[in-house]
Amino acid sequence: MKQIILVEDDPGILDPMIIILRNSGYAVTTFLDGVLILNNDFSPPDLFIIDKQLPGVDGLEICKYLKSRKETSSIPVIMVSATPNIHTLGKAAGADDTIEKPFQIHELRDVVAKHLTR
Amino acid sequence: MSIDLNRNITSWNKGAENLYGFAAEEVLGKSLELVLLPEDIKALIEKVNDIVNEVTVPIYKTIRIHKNGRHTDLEILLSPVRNANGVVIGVSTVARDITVRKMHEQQKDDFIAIASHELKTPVTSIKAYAEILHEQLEQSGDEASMEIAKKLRIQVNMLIVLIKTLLDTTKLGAGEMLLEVEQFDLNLLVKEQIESLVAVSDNHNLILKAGEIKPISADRKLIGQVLTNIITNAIRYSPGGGDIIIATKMSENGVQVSIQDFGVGIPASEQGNIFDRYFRVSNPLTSRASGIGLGLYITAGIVHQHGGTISLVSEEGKGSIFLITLPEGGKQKE
Repeated sequence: MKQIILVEDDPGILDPMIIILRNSGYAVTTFLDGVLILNNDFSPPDLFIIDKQLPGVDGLEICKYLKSRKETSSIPVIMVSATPNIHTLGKAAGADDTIEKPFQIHELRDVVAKHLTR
Repeated sequence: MSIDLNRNITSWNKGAENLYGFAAEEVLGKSLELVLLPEDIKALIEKVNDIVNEVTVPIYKTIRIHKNGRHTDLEILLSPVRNANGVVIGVSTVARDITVRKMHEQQKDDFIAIASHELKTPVTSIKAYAEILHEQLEQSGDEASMEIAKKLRIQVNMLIVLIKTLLDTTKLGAGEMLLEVEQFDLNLLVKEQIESLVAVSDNHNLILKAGEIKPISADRKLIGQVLTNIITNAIRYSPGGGDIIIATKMSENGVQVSIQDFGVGIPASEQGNIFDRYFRVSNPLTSRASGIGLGLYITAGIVHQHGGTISLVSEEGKGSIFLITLPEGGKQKE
């Protein structure tokens, strides 16, 4: 089963995302902020989904960090945000894809599938 | 306050003293340029020329300088001063301080921007749950409940469009609309828009007359929004149905797209305002049409931000033609 690490602090978004991803057959581990990731305290997943606006360190910084380390640089990162220019910001931070909130279920599924079926 | 045709001050009343801080004896006979920003001098010369040529100058907004150096936001009405023979010999200026009004507008925009952005998070959650519910009911075969979940999804999507509209409005007001420019074929985009809008109405024919045009450099998503807005309006304001013709061609200033309907049209008295914020055409035939009067404001804003133009030819009872021109190379800035 493919492993996804989902970093999102808002339970209103986190809960439905977990349902959608688990229903699609993925194993999901959730973090409410980036602390554990920045401390390298996690088992490398097949994919990261990271919200931009997080308490403490911004999601884009976490993305940059993951892309800068040899151990994680090849793991796809999808950035999620309500900011309309997330596409530009995500690209600049090295993200493999971006999703703008509010999104459609199928958008989330399609983007995740695109990076996990390679 | 008034000036002669060389822009020298010829009269200066109490109102002008309060507004600019200068006493009459300090400024009479001196050039009005004393209170103008250097970059506005040329515009004033043109406006004075217009008045000499009997062209009416619409009320306009500008910034002028107070004696103490402070900048003041003003709304200005210019009108001719004539001699006994009716010849224009000067220009009278009525100015109104709108600094406070502008500050209120800014506060209102800031509030809408924050509120809409904050609304996006709960609405993302509601939308996701509504879609999950819809799918689960679909799988369980509960038709009646599924119908309710479907309506819930439609309403959530309407709310999302409304939030986006409000956010776009405040961004345009603040000049913060970001363009993600790419090169694309406008004909293809128009074709896609037509295909997605065909289902909106059964009794309208959306006809594409695609001319030979060069690719344009623009924000494809935003230009798509412009086309959707205008075509949806054309459908909405031709309640009797009929043809809606979307044509593209090269023009002097770039690529031109025209959208023509044969609906109710827009009264001449209202044509000057239709691109204003919160303006809605007052037509009893379409009073049921919903909207908050921001669609064309945003549409025009997007076109202008691309360095393009938008205009209207319309006759009441006969229909309207919207003409949009976009520079083929795109705007170099941004």
